[in-house]
Formats: sequence, C-alpha cells, structure tokens
Amino acid sequence: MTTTELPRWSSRPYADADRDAVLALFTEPDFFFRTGDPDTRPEWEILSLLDEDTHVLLANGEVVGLYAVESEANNACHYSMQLRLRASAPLEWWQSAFAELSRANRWRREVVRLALRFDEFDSRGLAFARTAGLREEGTLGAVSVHEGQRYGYVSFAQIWEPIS
Amino acid sequence: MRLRGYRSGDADLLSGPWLPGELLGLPVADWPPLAPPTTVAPPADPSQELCIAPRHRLRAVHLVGLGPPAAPGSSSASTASSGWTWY
Repeated sequence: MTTTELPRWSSRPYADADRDAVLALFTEPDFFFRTGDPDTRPEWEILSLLDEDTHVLLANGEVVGLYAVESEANNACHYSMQLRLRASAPLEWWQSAFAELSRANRWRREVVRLALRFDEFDSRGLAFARTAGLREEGTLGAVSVHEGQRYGYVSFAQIWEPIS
Repeated sequence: MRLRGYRSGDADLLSGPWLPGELLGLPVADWPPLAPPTTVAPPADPSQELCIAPRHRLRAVHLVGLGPPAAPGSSSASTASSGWTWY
C-alpha cells in the first residue's frame, strides 16, 4: 500500500493492552500529544497524559495515533479535539482521520464549535490545520518553552450553524 | 432455536452499529467507523431477560417484561412493557 492511499479507520478507548503501541508513539520527537517533549518523557508521565477521553486511532487495524474529544463550556455544543498521528502518516491521513472523527462526533449529538490548537513549533499539526478547512482564530503568544525558545499556540475551529 | 442465559463471554454481542432502542438491531449502512457503538447493558434486573441464541447471526434477544413475577411488595416489574429486541 502506498502512503497516499486512505486506510480503514477504527478506534477504541485507550486500555492497558495498547500501552506498548502508545509508548512507541511517544518515542517520536514530534508526537506532540499533550506534551512538547514526547520522546524524553518517562513512562509514568506519558501514562498520566492519557485519560478516559483518550482513544487510540487505528489505520487498517494498526495503532497510528491518539485523539481525545472533550466537552467545553457547559454543554453548549462546544467541543475541543486533540489529534496526533505518528510521523510516518501523510497529511492526507490527518485530513481523512479528522473528517471521519468530525462525522463520528456529530453522529448522535449536535456540535456547533469544534476547537483545535497547535503549538507554533508543531509544523505538521499546523500544516494539517491549515489545509483542513478550519478557521484560524489567532495565536496566543509565548505560552511555552520548547528547546530553549518561547512559543505560542495557534487556535483553529470548525463552526456549524446551530440547529437547536 | 434454543436460547440460553447470558454469560460474561457474550459481552461483544451487546454493542454494535445500531440505532439505539430500535426493535431489530441491524447495522446502519452509513455508520461512521469512529462513532462509539450503541451498547446494551448486560442483564442485572430479573424483570429483564437477555438470552443468547447460539449459532444465529442475530444472537442476543432481549425480553422485556417477561421475567419472573415480581416479589410481593416489589414494583420492579410492574412498569415494564412487554417486548423483545434482537441484536
């Protein structure tokens, strides 16, 4: 299979059985899922980043990333998403996974606002967000330090017309 | 067809790409693969009986309101409506 073919997506809540596969994801220096320094985190710290909202994302049955969707703002149809695919996943996979996640999250509930944010040093995350049809809402500057320099994060969102 | 009682090993039969609450739990054609499956709770109340039909494609049958009569003084079964659902 060439890397530009779209895989069959599936997912499940993170469980102990996924631990080795998930720890392997965090050996990549730019697997920025809730941390700016994934590859140097010890095991306990990686596990502390995973919560009940964290799902493993599988492409053709193989773990290739993580995502989490959380409700924001008192059930006002406002959700935030964290999405990370491993370095070998092409941009088309990010876009395809996001499209499927977006559809799945709106399957049985209304979503008006879905927010994502990426650090300024996260070139792959930003490349995805800027080609996924998301609204770029601005940068909150100088919120973190990464490899000795200060960076902000960039906010993105997709907004649907409210039906309720 | 011979039904048998639910076992913990049957848990996989209780979730799938079905519309919640429909009578016949058939897969929905355009179900998003990343959407969480509809899940039925395992039986925990004698007023609800969930049985397994071995070797059938739709293998679990949920019998509501057909359980043993409620004990005197118990109201657990009095409001249940009769019916069944296949999964």
